[in-house]
Amino acid sequence: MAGRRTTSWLRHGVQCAALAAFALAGAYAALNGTVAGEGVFFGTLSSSTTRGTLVLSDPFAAFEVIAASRAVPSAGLAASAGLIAAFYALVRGRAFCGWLCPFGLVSEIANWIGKKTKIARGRLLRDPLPRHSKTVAGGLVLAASALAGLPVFELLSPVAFLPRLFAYGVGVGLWLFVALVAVELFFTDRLWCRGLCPLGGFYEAIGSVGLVRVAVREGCTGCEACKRACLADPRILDGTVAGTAGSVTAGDCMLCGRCIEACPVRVLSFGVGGPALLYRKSAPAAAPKEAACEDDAAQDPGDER
Amino acid sequence: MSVMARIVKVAAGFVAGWQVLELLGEGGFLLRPPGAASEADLLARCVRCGKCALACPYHVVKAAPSVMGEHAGTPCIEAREGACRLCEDFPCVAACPTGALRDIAERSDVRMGVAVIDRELCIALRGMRCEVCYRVCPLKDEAVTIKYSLREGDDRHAVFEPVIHSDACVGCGLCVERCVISDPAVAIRIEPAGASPHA
Repeated sequence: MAGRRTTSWLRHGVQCAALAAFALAGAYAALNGTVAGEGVFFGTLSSSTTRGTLVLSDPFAAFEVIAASRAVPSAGLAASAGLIAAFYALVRGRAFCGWLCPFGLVSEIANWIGKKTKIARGRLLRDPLPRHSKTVAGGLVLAASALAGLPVFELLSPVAFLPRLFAYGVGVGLWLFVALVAVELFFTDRLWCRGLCPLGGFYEAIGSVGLVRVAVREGCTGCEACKRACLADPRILDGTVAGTAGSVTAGDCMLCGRCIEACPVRVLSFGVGGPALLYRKSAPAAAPKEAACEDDAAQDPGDER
Repeated sequence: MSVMARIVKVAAGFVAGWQVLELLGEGGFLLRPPGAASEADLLARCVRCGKCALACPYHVVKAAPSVMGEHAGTPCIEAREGACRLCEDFPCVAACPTGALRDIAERSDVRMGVAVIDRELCIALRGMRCEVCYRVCPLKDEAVTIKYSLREGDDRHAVFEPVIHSDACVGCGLCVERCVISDPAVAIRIEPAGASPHA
């Protein structure tokens, strides 16, 4: 495996750098009084300002605000959230989840610790929710925001918990965060990210049009190592393993690259292009392959049973 | 099921329950930074990004603590600990990405609340020359004036009474921060705009 984990380490670097940026800006403000204008960067995941001019805002939070205030968003909000939405729509919606989300990083660490220390015994819940349930969660959050007149996810968000804590010292949604970390440690793999996160649901909804996707070349042996490595949802790789799809088209893909790293015959890679372009690669759709090690498919290497 | 797992389940249930309790927490009426149109409007638009607090040059805009229910993470000012300085350029308003704080061009546009003097506690009303609230007021002679009158039953000494003009007072709280009386309570407070039925 050594030397083949480049994407993962790069990804973890980006995840940590984002958190560090929020923490540094918060520490600078606490020590010097102000960061606006003079600062290089300040803010949280909900909204940030870089070099005093580039304002970026969470598009899902913007939708919550529109629902809660029942008003047309300000031009600034529309522009700053639109930039982020356009970026992820162009690249891949859930690239946010894979590359930037602080809770994604926490959940990966919790799962890793759970497996290493074997406290994650039994894995009581294995993918208990269908992967599209998080888009439903996103819709429910918007409906609840409209009813309550509050951007309700911003009160609870374990996603924004760490940036908020680091930037301004208040742990909004502390206990949900703690509970979810415990769930990740002891009971399940990625319950929140795969099935529950409304923000992930939003990015999944805009996630199938992105230009960057995981593509498969000829030569897949059907061993399903990619599915075991997948952080998003193993089912999104069914098409490429079966040879019916030339690339992963599901909006769920986070571009984490773990399938690419896990593939023993290295037929997976990141590709750039629209769905049509990448589908063509697999046009001579080979006969569906036999799954070589089907029994292992549902079994994590670190699991006891 | 091991004992450990059972403990964890109970703990998880406990923290989840605690989170629900926190969400139901009561915040009361908070003094908001300049630019909040109303309490309901601020709560609907604020995404708790913290940029107003990070942008405040005086560290006085703070995020409400997590035990404050729906107010958690929203900006507030504790005037006695540090009042709003009514900056010329309002960096908190400029930093707000969602318009929760908005439409402030000059100081007189600010409507954070109104100062209210406790006539039982104010030493000026007892004949002492204090006038601190008057002197520190950024809108001196508009928001607060001194009313001169003869002391009751005394034809030699005057009372220099501070009078708040609620139409001009913006509620920045500097008078509260600087009031010399703290025992048994501060002799002046800000009635936050959110507490008024017209907000």
